[in-house]
Amino acid sequence: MMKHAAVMTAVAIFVTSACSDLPGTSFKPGNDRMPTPIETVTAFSAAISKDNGRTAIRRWFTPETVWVNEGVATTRGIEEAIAFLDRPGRSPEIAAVHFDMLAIAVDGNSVLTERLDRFVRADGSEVAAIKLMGIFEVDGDHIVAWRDYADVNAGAKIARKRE
Amino acid sequence: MLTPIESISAFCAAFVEDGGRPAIRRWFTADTRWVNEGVSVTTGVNEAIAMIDSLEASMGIATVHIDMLAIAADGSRVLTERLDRFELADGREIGRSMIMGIFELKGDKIIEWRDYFDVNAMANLANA
Repeated sequence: MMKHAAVMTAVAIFVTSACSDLPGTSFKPGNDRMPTPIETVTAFSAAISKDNGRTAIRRWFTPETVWVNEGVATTRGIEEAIAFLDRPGRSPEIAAVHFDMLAIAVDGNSVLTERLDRFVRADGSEVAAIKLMGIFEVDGDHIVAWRDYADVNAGAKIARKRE
Repeated sequence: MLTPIESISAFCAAFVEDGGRPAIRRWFTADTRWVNEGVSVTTGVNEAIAMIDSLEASMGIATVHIDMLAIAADGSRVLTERLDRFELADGREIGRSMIMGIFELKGDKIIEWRDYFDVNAMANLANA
């Protein structure tokens, strides 16, 4: 009898630990699965319009994230990225940037996008809009690299508009 | 029928031949729009080839090697990140540019191609 009880206890422990080790068997409330790379980039792009992008950068960048605006600037980490968003040369008219996603697709952990980035004033009116492409490299639920490719002269025209 | 990614991979691999002219003839239609954002827009096969001719005449670009860095499909649209390398007729490289481009397919034809890159780096190349 004692032997039988010991076996049952051992089986119970085995079954419990095996279940808790199975991927996808979470009994916690809510959905805590890792987002897909496209979900991560979609969420980041939706959040970029708030608080001049600072909240999104802090949430999704890492201290090593390399952000390249081809032909314009390269930043590493969170503070350099935020300093770039707050740079003195940027038009003070611009209160927010909205990313309209035109196309999005994934190659492994790389998410490729074509976007219309709309630069808007505090009252929502548009300063300018630029079509561009960007690629995001995702690690877990963080963005570790982001490269944007655009007609940089179109960007310069926006900066000059305020003069 | 090839998948969109297979079609664009084949187009980009074939672009190395004769400045891209045979690839343009094979995959473009009479209405294909080829946009180099901030630089040029062509419509159809003949305008595209005329632009390749003018780049060869003005900058000496004889061969373009397209190295594919990333490629992914969103329906019939194919998004790419590439390293394009430009060579003179004698094989010397005169420049290279990181680029993103999007291709829209209809059947096995490219109906629109938009490339985005640092246009000033290309202008410097032209002035070099």
